Amino acid sequence: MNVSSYIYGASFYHKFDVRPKLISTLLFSVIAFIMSSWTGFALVLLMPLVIMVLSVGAKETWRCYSRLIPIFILLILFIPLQKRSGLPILSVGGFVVMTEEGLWIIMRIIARLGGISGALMLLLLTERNEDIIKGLRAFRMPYNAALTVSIILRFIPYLGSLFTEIRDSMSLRLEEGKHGYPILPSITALAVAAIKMIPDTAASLEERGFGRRNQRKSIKLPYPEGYLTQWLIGVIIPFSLLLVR
Amino acid sequence: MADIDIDLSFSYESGEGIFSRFGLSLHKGEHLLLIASPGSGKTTFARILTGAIPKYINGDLDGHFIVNGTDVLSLDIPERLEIVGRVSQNTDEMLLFSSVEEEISFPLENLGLEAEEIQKRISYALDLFGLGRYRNVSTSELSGGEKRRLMLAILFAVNPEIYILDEAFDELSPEWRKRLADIIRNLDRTVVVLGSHMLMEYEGVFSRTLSIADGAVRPYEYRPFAFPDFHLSIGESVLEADNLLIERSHRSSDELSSFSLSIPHFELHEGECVVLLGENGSGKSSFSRVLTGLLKEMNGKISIDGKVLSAKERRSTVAYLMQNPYEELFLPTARDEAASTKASEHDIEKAFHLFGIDPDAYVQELSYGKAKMLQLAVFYLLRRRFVIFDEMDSALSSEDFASAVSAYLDNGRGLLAITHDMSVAAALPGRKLRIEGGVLHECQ
Repeated sequence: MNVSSYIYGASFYHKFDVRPKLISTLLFSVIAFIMSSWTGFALVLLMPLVIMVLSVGAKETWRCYSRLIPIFILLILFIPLQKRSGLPILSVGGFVVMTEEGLWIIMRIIARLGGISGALMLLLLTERNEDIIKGLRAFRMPYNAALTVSIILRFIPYLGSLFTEIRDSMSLRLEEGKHGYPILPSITALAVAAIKMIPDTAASLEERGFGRRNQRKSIKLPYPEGYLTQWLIGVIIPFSLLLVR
Repeated sequence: MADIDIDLSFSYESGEGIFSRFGLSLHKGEHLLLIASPGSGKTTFARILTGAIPKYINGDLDGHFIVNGTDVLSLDIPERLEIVGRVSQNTDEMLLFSSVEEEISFPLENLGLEAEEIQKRISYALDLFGLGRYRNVSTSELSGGEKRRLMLAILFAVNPEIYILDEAFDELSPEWRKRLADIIRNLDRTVVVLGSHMLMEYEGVFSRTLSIADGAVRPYEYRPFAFPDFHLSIGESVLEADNLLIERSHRSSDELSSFSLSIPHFELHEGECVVLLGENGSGKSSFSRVLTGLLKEMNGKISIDGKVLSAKERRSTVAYLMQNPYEELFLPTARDEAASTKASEHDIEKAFHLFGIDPDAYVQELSYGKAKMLQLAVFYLLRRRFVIFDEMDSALSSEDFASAVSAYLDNGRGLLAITHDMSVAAALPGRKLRIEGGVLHECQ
């Protein structure tokens, strides 16, 4: 599973300590579920996106968010099926395509999905795996649990990279003159490869001593300059969303 | 009396017998070379010793693996860390973390070492395998040979009593093969190197050479293999690249400058064989990916018979057999993989016979070498005019590799063969190219 989302940088978010960053990400994800206004939805979606552009640039931001676009499109296609008894806002030939309530439901899902995914991607783009583990350990999370969380966090970008690999491989088998790739076999292959990865990862962890009886030495994170300020910013930003709840 | 005594019988859950009284005795500090054909059980042997089998791949295991009077098979996998360690043939399945340093520090922290000792061992291992400048780099940005050196660095940092190197010389450049041979020669630990074919770098490194046949250890009989005279029938069609510029930046660290490769001119005719040489990380695979359309070039053009092709058009014209076969095999069985090429049943049967493939074999259960043979069969059936072999000679016996080259050349394919084995390079016909200093040029 040798994929890393981390991008070297010197942005303000890179300089942010991992501890307030983890709490900020968690608070943001929780508050995203409390939001219930159009302005709130827009901010949930846009806030991580803007910070990502400022941290890793527009190109990398596009690379991350472009993976979510197919899901957004799929959700939008489901709008006609949502709350058909609601207030119609778009009809074609007497057929209600969209109701106000249906649009509301889908936009709420898109905002939460985009916002929370964006916040998590931002964390992975600006923190190395080892620092995320150290950060989780600083909150007294057991080492095994911290490692598991960090591996789970990397699992989704890994699947993305694996799918690219499979798609490329499939595209090399097309008949001359044809483009694209077979979607269903690629998804099946992804599922098979993802399942195979589980025992491989477990074996690799154990072969390198994960789970040994002797206690692992705790590694303390230093306190950077402006640590308290970072905490304040890390808490205030997600809580500020509540002003437009 | 031997310090290490191994006696194993093992069969997979499916009933496929692998070892029947596989007996091996070793003295402490002995360096042993075990040469056997792909699919003979080398990797299974390594995985049994470290414990991944039978815990993660079910099967019936019987026997013992005694080190200093303790049966290691009775220990949990993590408790074997200081006793036995392996460099996997498939490096991708072993790398888990986001940086080179983290990969090395993980087992050291699990050993319970102090931070100072961990840093000392990391620096030692990185220096030993020339990876110092990659310390903070993501492992996904390393080339195949660099990943192999990282796996070696991890093992040497842990420094167990027994080192198992599963095809560890493969994918290393000639310079690094020589250096690894020197390192092993001076190592006071027990080392077992598993290989599919004899390499000239092995000379003078090992006290014994054995083989595996019919599930048991056998004496190794060296039979020099002479590559056949390959039949070249050079055709009119030509794949050309002009003024290519390939660039790639390291995203995870600012300590490395961007990688850049310049190809003033390259051509490969149908039926021709061209050998490509170069150091690890010099850009051989990146060049191949550009020729195949999997990676975009910064500049330049690639054409076939004068017609400039887009990246998408190249994908269905130029075949690329990647270093790691599992990157190209995803379907359940060998037959499914072959059927995906839309070749006729007759051709599929012929290819299975030619490459020694069991049609009903499950792809994920194939050994690394057998997976390479299936990869060869699949691309053989696709009948691309131009084919790139990215270190296909590694993990295959010389006989299997030679017959694969013959099969492709006899069918008039233009073959670009990337290799680190100078004896293979010398045996293959045609021009020799080298990437050096970021430029592709012809060897004199």
